[in-house]
Amino acid sequence: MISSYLLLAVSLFAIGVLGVLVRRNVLVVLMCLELMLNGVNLAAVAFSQQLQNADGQVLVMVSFAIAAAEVTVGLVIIVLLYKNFYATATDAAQNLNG
Amino acid sequence: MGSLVFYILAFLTVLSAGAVVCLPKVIHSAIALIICFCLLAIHYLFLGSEFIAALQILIYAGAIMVLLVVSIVLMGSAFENQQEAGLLAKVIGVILASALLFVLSLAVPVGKGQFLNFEEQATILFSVVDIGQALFEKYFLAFELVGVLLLLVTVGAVMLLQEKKLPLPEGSGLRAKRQEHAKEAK
Repeated sequence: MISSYLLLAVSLFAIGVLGVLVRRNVLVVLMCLELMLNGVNLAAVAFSQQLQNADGQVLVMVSFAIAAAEVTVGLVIIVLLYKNFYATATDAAQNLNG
Repeated sequence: MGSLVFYILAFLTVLSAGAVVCLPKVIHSAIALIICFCLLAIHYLFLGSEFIAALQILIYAGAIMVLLVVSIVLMGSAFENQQEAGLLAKVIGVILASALLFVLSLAVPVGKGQFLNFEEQATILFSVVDIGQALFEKYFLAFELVGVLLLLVTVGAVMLLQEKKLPLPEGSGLRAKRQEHAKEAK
């Protein structure tokens, strides 16, 4: 039973990695990062159920808060990228090295 | 019966996650991601974590996706005519992601083992009381640090979004592009 949940978590993580590698749109890349985080959260909750221990749930709660912070900073970076370079593709960030 | 429901749900979850990657329009990806988050909340319910399921809907499907969708709406036209990666990059990405999937799947314990007595265990329900006790006794430092982090992010986001433009390097073509956009705006 836990193996099925772990396999689901692994596939979500791999799909997130695929999106980060393949897509050029920064917003979609951000969404795929969220997918990866969710895969990890699912694994943590599955382990928490397996070990009958609430620690994994606390980990997931902290990870939710950090995901919210990460999305905020990521969106700020995207808005700045758009305002300065008029671009929403990851290629535009290559100009950041000056 | 229970496992059949799980497999249908898992299939739908992976399908919606794939839709996030494959759909060409960014707003469609966002909607697929919201569906994926709601399905994950159902998985959390099956795992006996009602509180985490509620948080998943509130924070992910609520707060985070509202942020993303609002920014898509605000920057709307910028996301059309998006240049996508070439075929070679896509093939390499698929190969790398499948390799990762394969390697991670090897780490998942399959079959009957000491660790896999989940079926015999009753699914226990983690109440808010259990999580709250763990959070405020064992992990109080983490709780406080998350509060500091959220404050820092709020201040940082407001500070970064002040009206000012970064200096652009000479001869990169970006200056002309910016002036062009400024003319169009007038």
